Amino acid sequence: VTRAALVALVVAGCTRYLTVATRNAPGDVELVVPPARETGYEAPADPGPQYLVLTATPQLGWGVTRDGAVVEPGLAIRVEHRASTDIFRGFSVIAGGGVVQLDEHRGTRSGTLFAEAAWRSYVGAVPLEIAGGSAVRAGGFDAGGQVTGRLFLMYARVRYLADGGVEGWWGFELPIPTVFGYSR
Amino acid sequence: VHRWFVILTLAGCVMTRAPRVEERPRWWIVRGATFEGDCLLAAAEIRRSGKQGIGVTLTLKSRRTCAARLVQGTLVVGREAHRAPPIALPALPGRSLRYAWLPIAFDNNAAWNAGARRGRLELELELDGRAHAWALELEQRP
Repeated sequence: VTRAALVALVVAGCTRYLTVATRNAPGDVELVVPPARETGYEAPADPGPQYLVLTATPQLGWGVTRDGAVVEPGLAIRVEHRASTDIFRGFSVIAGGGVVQLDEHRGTRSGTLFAEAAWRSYVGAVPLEIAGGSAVRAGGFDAGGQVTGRLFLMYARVRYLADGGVEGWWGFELPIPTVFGYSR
Repeated sequence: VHRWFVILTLAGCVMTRAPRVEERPRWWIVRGATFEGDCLLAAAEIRRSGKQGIGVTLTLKSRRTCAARLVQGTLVVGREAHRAPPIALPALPGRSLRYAWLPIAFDNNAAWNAGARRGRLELELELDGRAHAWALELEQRP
């Protein structure tokens, strides 16, 4: 039900853009065994679909850093390929970063860019994702790594930067997927 | 900037989908579906068409006892030539009606993705010892 609702949400209002992908369009046929009947075209078997999903994800995170509590609005782009209709389970690659870090006492500074590899699956009916990757803060160059867990529209993140030390983050994100379906 | 604006505007859509079975492309014979030789009337029909190649049924009608042999069959798609396997045509005693199955395996998925939409099936026949050529023009489309 959750999946159907999400698909309906994604499709709503944009079906006029929906076109048939021509890549890999021929169906599957068996050639060794002749047809049982003498005449007539036999339709090929359907190889099934696969999907390339690009997801833009605005984020708003609250972090505890060495310098205190900060707020970081950001944007991430997720790329994932699915070879079945179960488009919510599998690997994806995420790149993004904070647009800016807002510090009540120190003002603003540049956000942190990151790149992650993620695995999403279900625990029971609950979709969970675990991701890990590298992080770079551009202003006053600082680099490190991070681990992120995602549950529905929430995420929690632990980040370590060489100069900045350990940071803890949690926040919300709104995935806006754009789906390109084509034949296997 | 314009490209990013378009991408952002269309974000959240299902942009493309895989074709349904009836929307999938297949090879059609657009010219030369029939052949008339001394002792033989023949017709070709593409019965199967897909990623793995095509399967053609040859309908063979003899006017009289006819020794028919398929010497060679070649499907030319783009710059690629795909040889049909050697098949034995059925015996045609008197006025007979027989069918022969001619499968031609090739990577039609790659051909389709490369934009190959036209092809040519060249059949070399031997009827009562005399050589004949039968050329069929093919087109791949839904």
